[in-house]
Amino acid sequence: MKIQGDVDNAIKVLLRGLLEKGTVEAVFALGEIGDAINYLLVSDPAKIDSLRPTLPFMPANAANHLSKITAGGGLTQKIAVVVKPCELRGFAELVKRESGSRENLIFISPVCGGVIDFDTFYTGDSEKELAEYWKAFYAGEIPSNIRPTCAICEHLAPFNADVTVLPTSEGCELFSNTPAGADILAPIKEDIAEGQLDETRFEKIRDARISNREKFFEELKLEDMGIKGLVEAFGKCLGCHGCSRVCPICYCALCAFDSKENEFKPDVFDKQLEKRGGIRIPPNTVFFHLGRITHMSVSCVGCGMCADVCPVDIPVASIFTRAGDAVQKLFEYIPGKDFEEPVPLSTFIEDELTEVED
Amino acid sequence: MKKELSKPIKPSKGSLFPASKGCNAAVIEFLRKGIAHQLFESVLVPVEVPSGNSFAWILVRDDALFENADILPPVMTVQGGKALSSLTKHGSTGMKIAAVMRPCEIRAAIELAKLKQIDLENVLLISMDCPGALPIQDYVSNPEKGKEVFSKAIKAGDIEPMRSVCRTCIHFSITAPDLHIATKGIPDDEILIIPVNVKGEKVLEGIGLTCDREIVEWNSEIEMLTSERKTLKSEAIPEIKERTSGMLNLAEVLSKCISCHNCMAVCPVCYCRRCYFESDATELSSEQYLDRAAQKGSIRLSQDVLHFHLGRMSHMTMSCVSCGSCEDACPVDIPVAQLFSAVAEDSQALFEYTPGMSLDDALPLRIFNKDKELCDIERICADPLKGCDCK
Amino acid sequence: MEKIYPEEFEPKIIGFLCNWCTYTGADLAGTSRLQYPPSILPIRVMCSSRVDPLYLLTALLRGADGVLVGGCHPGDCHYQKGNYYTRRRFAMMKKILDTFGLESERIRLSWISASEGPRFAEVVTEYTDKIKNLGPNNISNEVFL
Repeated sequence: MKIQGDVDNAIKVLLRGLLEKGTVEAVFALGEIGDAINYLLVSDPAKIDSLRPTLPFMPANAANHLSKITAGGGLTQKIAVVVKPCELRGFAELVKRESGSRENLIFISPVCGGVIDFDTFYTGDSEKELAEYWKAFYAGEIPSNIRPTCAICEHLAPFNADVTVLPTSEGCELFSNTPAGADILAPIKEDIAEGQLDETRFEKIRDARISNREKFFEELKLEDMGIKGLVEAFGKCLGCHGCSRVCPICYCALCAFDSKENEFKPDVFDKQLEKRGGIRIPPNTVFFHLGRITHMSVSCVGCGMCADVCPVDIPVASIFTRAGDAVQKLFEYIPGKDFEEPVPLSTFIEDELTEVED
Repeated sequence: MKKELSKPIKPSKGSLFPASKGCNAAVIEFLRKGIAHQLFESVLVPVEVPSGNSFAWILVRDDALFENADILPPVMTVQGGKALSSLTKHGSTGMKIAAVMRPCEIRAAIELAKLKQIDLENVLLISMDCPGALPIQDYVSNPEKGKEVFSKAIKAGDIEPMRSVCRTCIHFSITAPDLHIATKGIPDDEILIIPVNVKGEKVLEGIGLTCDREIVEWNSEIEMLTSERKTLKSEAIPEIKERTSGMLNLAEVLSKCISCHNCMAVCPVCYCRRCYFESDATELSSEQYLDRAAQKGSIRLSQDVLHFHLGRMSHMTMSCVSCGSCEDACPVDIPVAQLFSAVAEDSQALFEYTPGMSLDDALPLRIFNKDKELCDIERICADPLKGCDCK
Repeated sequence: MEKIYPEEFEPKIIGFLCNWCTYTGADLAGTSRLQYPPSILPIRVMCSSRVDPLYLLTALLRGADGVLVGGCHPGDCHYQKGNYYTRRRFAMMKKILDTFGLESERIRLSWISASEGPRFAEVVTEYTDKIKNLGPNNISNEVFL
């Protein structure tokens, strides 16, 4: 259905209606807290005004919040959730790992033009940045002020949304993909668009993203890195593990790299020191990153939170997205596309990958 | 730990050490002598990383690594106390190590030793007069400019470019190391190596250095600088207090917080493997989320942001050394070091405790005075109408 | 730090060998007095799927010249399915090493059954040769790791 006016306002009308009618117990979306933007869980229709559901900003990957909210068997009451496609994909990956439940969640997700980073949004002129952003998006172009991982993301349309939102220069169009989606759109007295969102509507941006992606990976030249390149790339790493904490896929309560396993006993320090003549303290910087890639790259959704949170601006997201791409292609797997498809490492085909046997 | 060796002596003299090529080169020369005289086998120092845009702690045994070592880098990367903790948490290596760190890193190490996270048995702690450190994000984005700004600031005694908590730091000189490198108020081509305890004295003896230089000039320079800083501190603290005064203001300052917990992760004092605020104890159930949303009409996610910050404060404030790593690590520029430092000032004053100044100072929350103490916070008077007479 | 290698470089290969097949096969090679280079350091695991991919990473980062993972032939796993998972994890590890240009030939997956003594000797001989040609693992020189 087409709704005139600002896309955020349109969504807010929808959400307010859902709360007022009691169709949902609460709604989850980005909103204002003073000068900041964070996620809000709203149950009072009067508080809907503070929401900014389609703001191109990501304070955290919402998958982490959804995981917490649905822990322990899932919600017993319905809530409507407005999240970006990569957050929805991240959540699907968490649900498959039994770290969240889809029960009673109604997903509303926009076709995403990308996300503006913390620095640009908070210390720059956010209104100006937003104006430039939407202008580019409506022209079918990639905005110049979005994060690098957004500019190369080909999954700008959500998988598994009950309602897909297409922002347009006039307002937005809403498409229902499931009976739950149709239910929540029904009360709005407009024509409901027939069928799914036609992908040619955002084809131009998607093609630009795909060609960007190829170019970006080529320029990244990870295959020329070797150990020296890795040492250089992660030279400034402080080992704060912030990247892991904000990652939607890294859900372990006690990360292997925070555990005793990752700490050297005195004799190992002695031995390594003798061997190398010098040892970085704390040790295992490159091991942490390669190890984290080993653990999560199969499900990396390229959301870019890791780079956002890095205190020393290491392009973690670029490196991890590239690694994720390689591993996912190996298993022909698109993380988060499907809530049912098993994570590749938890399954197998009897007759496969014979090329790695020696 | 040989207690007699770490007993502080009141330093009155130091050893002159030539520094014609600058302080860094001189200290490295000193360290080489220490190794040559077998007083220690390896050295923990910051070394510039191969990509040239930061520094990493390297436990050095191979002399070639000293080439890119910088005992006073423009930035504080991993807090030195944390690095020493990583090295000795599971026990001493048996090998003698000299660790060259900033004063706040020494203090953090002392606190961590009290918390049983560092084994100082075979560690020789060496500190230096600290001019402060630059904000790390600015530095790594333009290290060339950063190096320029830093060396210019040191020469001019300018603390303006340094991090917020560096500008108000009053413990920038001697704290509780074994040896201290004095540079302030001393000619550019010299450094003074001051032993702070018997262990330090023995090292100087072992290298063949005589402790015969008066440190009066250095002392008065430090006193003057300290008094300047105290003034700056007395201006800065009321400012941050006002900014964060009351729940609403505090919430506003913390509104951008994304609960990434970087601040906790880089804090040397926060050593818990599983932080209370990331454990089952503080988890909420689905019902609790919906209940809270119903009660308040709208709640923010993550929940309990103030609880995390105030709670973390209550856990570590007694040992907070105002090193500023937390603020460096915050991705949304919350003035968390200024806030925590201001609170630490008050909470430590309550027990007249200055963290990191001596291994003999017990952690305030581990001891108590059976006789009357802190009566002003408890009401024990027999006759409440008469008022308390126990002051 | 400059390392001077002896003219004859003796590779150090860490071998994670499954108890029921490869380890037993290695044992058989021994009792049959079959010759193979002394490059392998065998570690017995109950199943090749016990091998956490991080072990391969750790071995390489700590300076092992090669890592061999030995298990039962697919379909013959003592625990029915273990080696299928091994194969996927190994393929992923190889892909990750390839992605970063980290000499993925330094890890190898071989199916060697309990009765294949000669095959074990053959694999170790072949692999040692290959590693000799690759040269020593230069990661052991890295200080800033």
